[in-house]
Formats: sequence, C-alpha cells, structure tokens
Amino acid sequence: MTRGRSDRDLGAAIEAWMADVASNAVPERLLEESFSRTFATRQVRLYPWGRLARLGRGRRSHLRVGIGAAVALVMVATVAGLLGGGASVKPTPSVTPSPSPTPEASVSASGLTRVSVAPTGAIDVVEPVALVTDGLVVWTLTGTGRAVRIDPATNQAAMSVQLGATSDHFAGIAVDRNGVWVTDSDTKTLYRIDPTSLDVVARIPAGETPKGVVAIGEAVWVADAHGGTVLRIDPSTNAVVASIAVGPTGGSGPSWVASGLGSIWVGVPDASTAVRIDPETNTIVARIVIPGPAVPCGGFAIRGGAVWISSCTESTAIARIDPATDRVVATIDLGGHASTPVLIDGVLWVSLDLGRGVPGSLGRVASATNRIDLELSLGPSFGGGGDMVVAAGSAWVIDRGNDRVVRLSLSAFSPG
Amino acid sequence: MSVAEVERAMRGDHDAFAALISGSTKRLYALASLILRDTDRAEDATQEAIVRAWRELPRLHDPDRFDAWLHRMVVNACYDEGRRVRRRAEVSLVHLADRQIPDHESRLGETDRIERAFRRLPLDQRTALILQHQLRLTHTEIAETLGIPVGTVKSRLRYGTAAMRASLEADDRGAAATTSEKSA
Repeated sequence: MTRGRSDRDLGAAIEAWMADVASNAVPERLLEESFSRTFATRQVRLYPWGRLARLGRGRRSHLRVGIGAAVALVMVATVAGLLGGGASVKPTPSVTPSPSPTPEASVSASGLTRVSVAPTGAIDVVEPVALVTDGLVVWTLTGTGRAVRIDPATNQAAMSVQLGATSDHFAGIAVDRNGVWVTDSDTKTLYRIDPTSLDVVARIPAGETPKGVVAIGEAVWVADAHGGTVLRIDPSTNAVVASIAVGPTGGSGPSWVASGLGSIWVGVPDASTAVRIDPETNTIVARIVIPGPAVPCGGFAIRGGAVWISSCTESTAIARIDPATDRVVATIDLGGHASTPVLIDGVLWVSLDLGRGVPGSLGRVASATNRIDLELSLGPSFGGGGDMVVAAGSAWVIDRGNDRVVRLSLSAFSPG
Repeated sequence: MSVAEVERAMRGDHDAFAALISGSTKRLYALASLILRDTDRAEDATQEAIVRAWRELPRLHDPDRFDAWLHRMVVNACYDEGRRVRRRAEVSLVHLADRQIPDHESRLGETDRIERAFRRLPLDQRTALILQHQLRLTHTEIAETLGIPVGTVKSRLRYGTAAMRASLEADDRGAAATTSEKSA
C-alpha cells in the first residue's frame, strides 16, 4: 500500500523504476542515423565579434570585450565606408564616460553602450531569491527560507531568521511599517516578522499557494497562485478580509503583486492577464490582456503614465501598459530573462539573465524607444535576473552567480 | 568527456563529436525514454537532440558544461516531441491518461503502478524528477540544466512527488474498494 509511505520510500521506488527503464538497450540504428544526419549538417557559423565576446569570460574579460567591441566597430565602420563608395568613414559614437571607480566602456555596433561598474559593497547570502526595502533597510529572502536584514550603514547582514523548513518553497517577501511578510507556499502560510527583533509574530493561513506579497500599511495583499485569488489581509487582525478571484484555480495562477497609481496589480500567467484591483472597493477594475511573447509571470514597475510587467523565465519580453487606457502599448524584447523591473530616477532598469555561460548585466530601457540603450556590466561571473531595489542612496542587486547582494552607487545608473 | 574533445568538436571535428556522443548515448536515450515514455518518440527526440547539439555546438560558452548543455538539448527535444504528438493525437493521449485499471482484482505490480502515476505527470515535472532521481543532480544543477530558477525546480519536484503519491494512493483505494465488494 502507498498510504503512509515516506518521501524517502517513494523516492527509492521511483529511482528503482527509473533504473529499470534506463537499462533498456539503445537501438542500434539510433547512432547510425544520428551521425548520418549530423555529418550532413553544417554547424552554425560564429562571426569574429561573437568569438571575441566569448573570450570575454576570462579574468581579463573587460579588456578583451573592449578590444572585441573595438574590432567590431572598426569592421562595421570600414564596411560602411566601402558601401558608401569610399567616402570618409563616419566618426564612431563617443563612449559614454563611466561613473564607476574603474571605468571601462564600449559602444556596440548597434549603438548599445556598455559600461563596467564596480560594486561599492557586497553581502554574501546563500541562494538569495528576493529583495525588498522600505527605503532604509534592505531585506533579502533566501530559497531556504531565511529572511536576512542588511544594514546599509555597515554593508553587512545584520540579523536573520529562519522561517519553516529549509525545503519549503518560499516565494515572496514584503516590508512595510507593520513588519516583514514572507510567503511559504508549502505550508500555505504568510509569516509576519517583527523587523526589529526578527521574531515571528504571526503565521497567517493564506490560501492554497501563497506566492507574491505586497504590504502597504493598511493592508497586505497576497497572490494565491493555485487558488486563483488575491487575498487582502488586515494587519490589525492578521485575518483575511477579502478574497478576489482574478483567474482560474490550479496551475500557474496569480504570481506577483504590486501597488501603484492607487491600484493593486497582479500578474495572472494562466489567464495571460494583468489584473488591476481597486483597494477601496476590493473589486477588479481592469483585466489587461498581455499578448505573447510576454508572459505575465514577473514583477511590476509602476510610475505615472506607465506600468511594466516582466515575464520571469518563461520569456524575455516585458509588456508596457498604459494605465490610462489599461492596454498594452508595447512589448519589449529584453534579450534576456528579467524578474522584477525597477525604476531609478523614473527610468526603467532590469537585471538580465542572458543565459548560461554569459555574464548577466543591468539594462536600461529607454522610454522613448522601448529598447535597452545602456548596459552595466558587473563582471564575468555576475548572475543577473534577480531583484533590484533602491535604498539608502544606493541600488542593491541580487548576484545569483556569486550568491550575494551587491551595492552600487546610483551615479552608475546615470552616466553622462 | 574531456574539455579538449569538446573544444575540438566545437571547431567542427566529427570524430571528436562522435566520441563524445557515443559515450553519452545510453544516458541521453534513457533520459528521453523516461520523459516521453514511448520508445519510438524517445528515439526521434534523442536523434534530434544530437543533430541540434552538433549544429549549435559552436555556441556553447563553457566546454566544462557540455554534459549539462547536452541534457538540456534532449529535454528541449522531448518537449518539442511532446508538443508535436499532443497536437497530432490529443485524443489518444487523453485516453491514455484517463485509462482506468481494467481489473482491480489483478493488482498491478509496483512497477506498473509507478509507471501509470508517472505518465500522468506533465513533462516538466517528469523531467525534474528524472534529473533528480535518475541523473542524481542537485537542485542547483537541475536549475542550471533546465535554465530555470531553483525555486521553480523545488516547486516542480514537490508537485511531481505529490501527484505521484496521490495517484498511487488512488490506485490503492480503487483496489481496496474492489476487494471489499468481492468479499461482501
């Protein structure tokens, strides 16, 4: 009988079955046909600038990438000159001065400016999955369920608290004047933590699969991914006071929530919508269809006149919504995966995961063109795609490649 | 696998590529067989993955990661194969998934019961379980292989295991009900 069987026993049974299946002999023709097809197929051709860029993963990557970009520029300029009948080559764009302590910058053939920046601080955190701030203190949540308070005065992890079992699926973290709030999808719990003592002061049942959370003083809003709802929790009673159905139950339902422009926003990937809720009435005021290739499973950035929602790892696109009409006005391919976009001085930035083996970067999305026009490089091992927040006069970014949170001067984000 | 061999294959050396693949074929085919649970489709997917691997090899950024990269090729080929077959034969797949135990009296063996439970899982959960239990990868390695966050890996493993358990328990309840009907 299966009932009462432990995870270990079930795992062992699955392993035994898989070992049995895996022992099947490989059909002889498989290799013959594969190689027959393979050797009739040409490998992709990499162009010189691609090879130079690949060299940029070594210790002297900045220099190599710079040389690579310079060579590419010269080649492009030369070809342009030849096509123009031998007329004088147009001057190459001037390199934007870098604000970093060790400035290195280059301009790609497409006009994208890349600037190397050096962090002003780095805090080691094992498996950071989310980052939030109240503007003064930075909080990060680890994949093993530890909430860590980072003190900007010392650039250190000042205190931390373990929430539940390390194997649980911890998804979201939020902070407001009432405390720090963390969702645990496995135990269907919203943890409330005292931000000073880090004591867990409440464990609040929060739907089927609590995921994203945002706290705005008078209310805490939680996306219930499998329940298809957004829950409103009253911090004075720690009780759910409203449940708003925003999508179907099961699967990839309501994911991340945000507050802005007088509304609560939630992405519902299995309905391909971003839903806008009026917190005064707890009712839906708009269901905004997010067209492909964007998938509304990422975070939001909100400012007057524009709302962006990213696609997590399902797509590299981010959708821009006009909040006046509640319609998507642009879908922007970021060229990499981004989780939560952030506004710095009103300008949209994303931390980009550009794929395995390629260093991540921070990208600035030009509002006028809806294209990335500036990339900040944080080194060859930087792992992008994580959260980024602004606090204590700095930007703080999860570096998934090095298990740390890095601190950057805000001046790095407005070079020239 | 040697890095030098991978680098030679990246430069178009057929012999180096053949040596690399020959040493991995059993593992790749097993991976595809487990994901798709159909020998013909597994063969197609493995073959497609090998051809794609050869074609795309110059794009490999880190020769040290060749194995993980190759696994990803197989997983993606299986997903494509799964989608293709679903489009072509949605009805027959649904029937397969919903098939009832023909006779509870003849209790299914452990292997058959696990097979049935596994077939009911979506491909992404199957894949996560295979990478953990068959290839014995860590959560981080699975995340790297599939190009997804560690949290998503944990989620897929958790839901996959829970679904397997629920399915096995449902089989048990069905068998118990039939037995009690017979004895009444």
